[in-house]
Amino acid sequence: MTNAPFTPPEPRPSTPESARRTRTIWIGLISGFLFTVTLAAVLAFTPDQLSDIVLSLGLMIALALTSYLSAWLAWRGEVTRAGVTLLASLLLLSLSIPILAHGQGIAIGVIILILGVGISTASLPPRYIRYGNAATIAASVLVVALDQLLPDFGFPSQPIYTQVFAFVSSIIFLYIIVRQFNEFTLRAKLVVAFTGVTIIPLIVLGVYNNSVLSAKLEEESHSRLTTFSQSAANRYDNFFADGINVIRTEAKQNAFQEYLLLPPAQRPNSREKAIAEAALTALQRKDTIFIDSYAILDANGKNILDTSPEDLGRDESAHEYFTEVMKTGAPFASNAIFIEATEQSVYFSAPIKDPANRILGVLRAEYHIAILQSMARDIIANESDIVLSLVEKNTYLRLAYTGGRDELLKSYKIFDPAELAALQAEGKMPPGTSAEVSAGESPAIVQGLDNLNQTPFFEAYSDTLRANAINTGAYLTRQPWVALVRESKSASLLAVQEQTQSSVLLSLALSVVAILMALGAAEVLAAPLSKLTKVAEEIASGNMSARANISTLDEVGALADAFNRMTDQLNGALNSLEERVTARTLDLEIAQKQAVKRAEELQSISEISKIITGEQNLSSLLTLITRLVSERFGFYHTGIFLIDETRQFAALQAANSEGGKRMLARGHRLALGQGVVGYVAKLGAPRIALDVGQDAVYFKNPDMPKTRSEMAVPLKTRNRIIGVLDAQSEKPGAFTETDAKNLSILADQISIALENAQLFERTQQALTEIQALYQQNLKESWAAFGREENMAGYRQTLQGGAKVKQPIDNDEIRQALNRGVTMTFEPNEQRREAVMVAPIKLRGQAIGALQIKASTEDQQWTSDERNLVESISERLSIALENARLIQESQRQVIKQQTIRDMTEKISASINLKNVLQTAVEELGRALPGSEVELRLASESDASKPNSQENAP
Amino acid sequence: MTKKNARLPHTLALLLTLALSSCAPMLQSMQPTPRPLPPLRVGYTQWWGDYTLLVAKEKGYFKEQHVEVEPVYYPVFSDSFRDLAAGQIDGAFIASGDAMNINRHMAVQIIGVSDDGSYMPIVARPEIKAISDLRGKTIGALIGTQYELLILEMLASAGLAPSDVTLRNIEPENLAAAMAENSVQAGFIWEPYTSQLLEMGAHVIYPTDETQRLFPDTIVFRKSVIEQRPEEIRAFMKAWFAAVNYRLANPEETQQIAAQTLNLPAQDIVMDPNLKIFTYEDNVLSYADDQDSPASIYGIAKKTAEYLLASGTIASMPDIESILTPKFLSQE
Repeated sequence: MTNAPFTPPEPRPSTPESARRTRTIWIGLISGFLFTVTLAAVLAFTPDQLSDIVLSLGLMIALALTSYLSAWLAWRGEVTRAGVTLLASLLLLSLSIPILAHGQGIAIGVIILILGVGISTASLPPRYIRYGNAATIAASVLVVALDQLLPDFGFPSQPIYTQVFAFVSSIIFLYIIVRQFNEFTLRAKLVVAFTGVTIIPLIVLGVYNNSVLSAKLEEESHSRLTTFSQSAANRYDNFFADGINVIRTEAKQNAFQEYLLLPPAQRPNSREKAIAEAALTALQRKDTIFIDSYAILDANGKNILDTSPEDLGRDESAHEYFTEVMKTGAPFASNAIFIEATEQSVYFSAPIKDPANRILGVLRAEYHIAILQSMARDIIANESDIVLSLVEKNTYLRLAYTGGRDELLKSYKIFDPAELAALQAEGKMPPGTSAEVSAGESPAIVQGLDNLNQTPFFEAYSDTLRANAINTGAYLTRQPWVALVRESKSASLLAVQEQTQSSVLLSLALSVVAILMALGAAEVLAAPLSKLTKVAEEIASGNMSARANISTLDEVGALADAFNRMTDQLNGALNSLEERVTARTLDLEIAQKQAVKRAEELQSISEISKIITGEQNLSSLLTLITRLVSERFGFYHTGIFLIDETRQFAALQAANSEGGKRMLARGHRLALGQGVVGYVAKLGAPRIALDVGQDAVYFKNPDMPKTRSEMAVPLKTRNRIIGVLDAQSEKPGAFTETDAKNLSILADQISIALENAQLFERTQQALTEIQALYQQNLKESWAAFGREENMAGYRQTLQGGAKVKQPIDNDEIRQALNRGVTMTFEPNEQRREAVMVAPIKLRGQAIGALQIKASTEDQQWTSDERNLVESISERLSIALENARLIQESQRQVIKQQTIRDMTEKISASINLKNVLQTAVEELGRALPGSEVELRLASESDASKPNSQENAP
Repeated sequence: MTKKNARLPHTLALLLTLALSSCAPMLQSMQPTPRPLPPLRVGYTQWWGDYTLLVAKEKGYFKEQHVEVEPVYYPVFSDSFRDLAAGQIDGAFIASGDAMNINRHMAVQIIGVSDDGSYMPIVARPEIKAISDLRGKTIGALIGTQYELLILEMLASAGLAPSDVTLRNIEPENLAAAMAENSVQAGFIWEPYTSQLLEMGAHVIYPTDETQRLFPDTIVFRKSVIEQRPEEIRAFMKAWFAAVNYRLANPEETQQIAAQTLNLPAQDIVMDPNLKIFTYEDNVLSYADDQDSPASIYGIAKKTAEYLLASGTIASMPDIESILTPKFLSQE
């Protein structure tokens, strides 16, 4: 075997093509290996039968060589050619197997199927695989059919190898089927399962039945053959026993004694001779067909009287039938003796004795050997399947043979000429050449005859039966002969063959039925499932209305039912989900709307806040708020109540609606705790009142007859309720908590705005007061300054400037001062020249005026002149104020200096009297011309608070 | 493979199985053909009547009837008895008594008559002038056969008892030699040996006439062969009668055929003018005649049987009806 490790010439990428190549190489090598091993096993274990199985061996060699050839082709890269070569040769060569190895069709069919399917699947290109498989199936079925239907051509075979081969292959195949079972479609699975379920028990049963029947038939055949051989042997034994008995008594005839007692010279033409001869003739008359002659031999073995005159005088002393009788004095039956072509005889002999028991001679009867054949025919009679041969043990000569007529008196053994010549000289073999006297059917027969004691039954090929035959034999007791019977094995196992045939045909028929049933079952079983699958796919693709319409009551029906229910539930779930989604969407929309609304509201709140922040006037702010809230929030009425100083009432301060305005005009106010607004004003929490239940009473306001819902939120600053924002709607249930919250936010903003406005108002008021005070102070300071300086103004004329002691007062100045702006005056009756008066203003307060008289009567004031005057007036006011303030400051500095000096002097004295004195002196010095007194407080002054201020 | 393709092998297998199943009954009828049977082996000897067999063979009458026949030549006529009894040949042309003899070992049946046996004389050496001269002499005969009957009749006609002579078992084929060496002085003979002996100087001492024609040659087959291969036997008989007609019309050609087959000079093939070859019609008559009529094959068989029984050759009276069968004459 050349299964040396195989390496492809070059590593190739693992493509499907290269994988196929590798598979093909391996398949070729493995097939070759299997065939080689089988061949080797046959050669090793049955070396002696090689000539018989030479054709089978040739077939195996051809298959092995083809396998290696295909491996080589695949190795060269011609993968498809390799596969086709291997498959084609396997299938074509296998067709000869039913002829060469009859009876092994099923095993061979299995091998072909497995090898063929394996080769085509592994080696052929995918598009050829089905052809390969189909050809394989056809070939295997054909082989099985041929094996069943063709006659046995009688080539010997070794079924055991085939069966082992088939068994191994089957196991591999089953393994592959089991491994790939999951990959089959349901239909294929059902077909495989049905076929398997049908075929496997049939095969098992068939094999079991066959083996049982074979064993039984073989036993029967053996027993029948044994009976036949035994009865044949008995028959021959009896023939010889009878023959001996008969001749023993025949030899006792007086005629023979008397004849022999005559001296030889007197015997010819004697009366005794005639009597003896007549007696002999009479004896021969027993069987004119097979008794060739009766003769009397004298004591020397010379034939002295014979019914066949041509043998007279012949010396027969050398023959056993004479010597034995002379020696033992007992009758004798000879072996077959061949003297010449015409004399092929069996002799019976018996001594002829005188009364003194001396042996006078021998009576011998010559039976033609054909009598044995005649007996054989009689024994076998109508048993055409059984062949009987009466075989001489030493020469293997067929003394009788019911097979072919031409093989009679021919040996099973092929003799070499010398051996044959010796046997012929002894008369043990008929005359003729080795080829003429031998008709060797099979060496196995000679071998089987030799070993008959050890193996009573042996198999050998029979030319006559043209089949392998079972042989058995029985020895004759007297003659060295074997009654060999044989029966064609196929004939003996005809019942098995018939049963196998019917089993195979039944299997084939049942396979068809099984496949049809499988297809039917596939329809019944798989169709609902595939229907269900389709429905599932439909549902998967979105058609939720699809339903499985399966009405069976089995599991599939239950599955379909469950499936439908599941679909229903799914559908329901989907629907409710949709509803929920819709609801959610709606909710979301609402929420979004609300959010938008809220955002808008917040936006409104923000805008309102922004707007109201800009308004500082409280009353216009309130009106603005009511208008804006009403506009932005869509309330038909918005009102603002503020709690009065007494915190007894909440009075309507602003409202946008007509009714509200009427109430405002009416000075509408509500006691805290009264009505919705009063409630909120009292408790500081928002309240929504709807046109239902106990709140219904609030909606009978004649000014607000349309109100169906009302909401009031408190206005608070620093946790103090300052008022209420009241909103009313014509819609019932128009307000929600969210609105309340939003409005609360707005209310907070409003509160802040209100507070701001209030604060601003107050600040404004304070500022006005301060300004008034300041201007008063400024006026007084300038008045005082005038007095102190003794100057009421300054006049500049063409003649020069001079102080004005008395204040200048005229209409023009008065007008300008009153109006606070620069004024020009045309000349009039009282004066001839044009006058321009510019008030000198300090922080809005006129502290004087500049009066400029035109130099000419007709002079007009230009705007430049006016601007110039105004600018100067402004600078002048600042310069004047600065000058006054400097003067003031200097005075203050002096005062402070004085105080410090006084304080230092006072502090320098530690004596109380000095201190007091110093203080008074200094004060008097600081206030020249004044009288200073200092008095210490008495006890009576202690009861008066702040007595220091009023101290004298 | 695509899914569709994957189905193809299965479909093919299914179709194939279906086809096979439907063919099964037909195929089953093709049972193993039985082994071809060997040709019908028929023994014959040097006898003018037997040459019909050779004519049928040579002129293709057997082939015409699709029956294979192998003529087996027996130089010594009686050897054919043995082979018939041993089953080595299937049929032979023998007298009814021979058939009865053989029947002891092997069941045979007479299915037709070949010829009337002609005149089978007893010849004697020249010195034997009269039957009475045979007293104390040796007469050659086929011992234990019906032919002895003629000798007994002859002895009786001369007032001799069987014990007055010595009967010796000598085949007619060997009679000439035995008479020549004077070991026998007379003997039962038939053609062509009659002519030979007469040429050698012997003379007919006891001729047979038509009334004494006891030994018609019959067509005998083994019963088992008749039972197993009746169609072939029927075909054989058809061919046989066709050949009879032919040979009656062409005696010279018949002689030629026999000479060629036996590798003898034509003149050695004696055309016995006295021999009546039985045609189909003769056979029908012979089978149909009253059993007491000397021409009836039944009558002859019965008479022969009686003699054989009397002579001790057979132990009991055979069933003539079972030995003779006319069923192969019911053709044409």
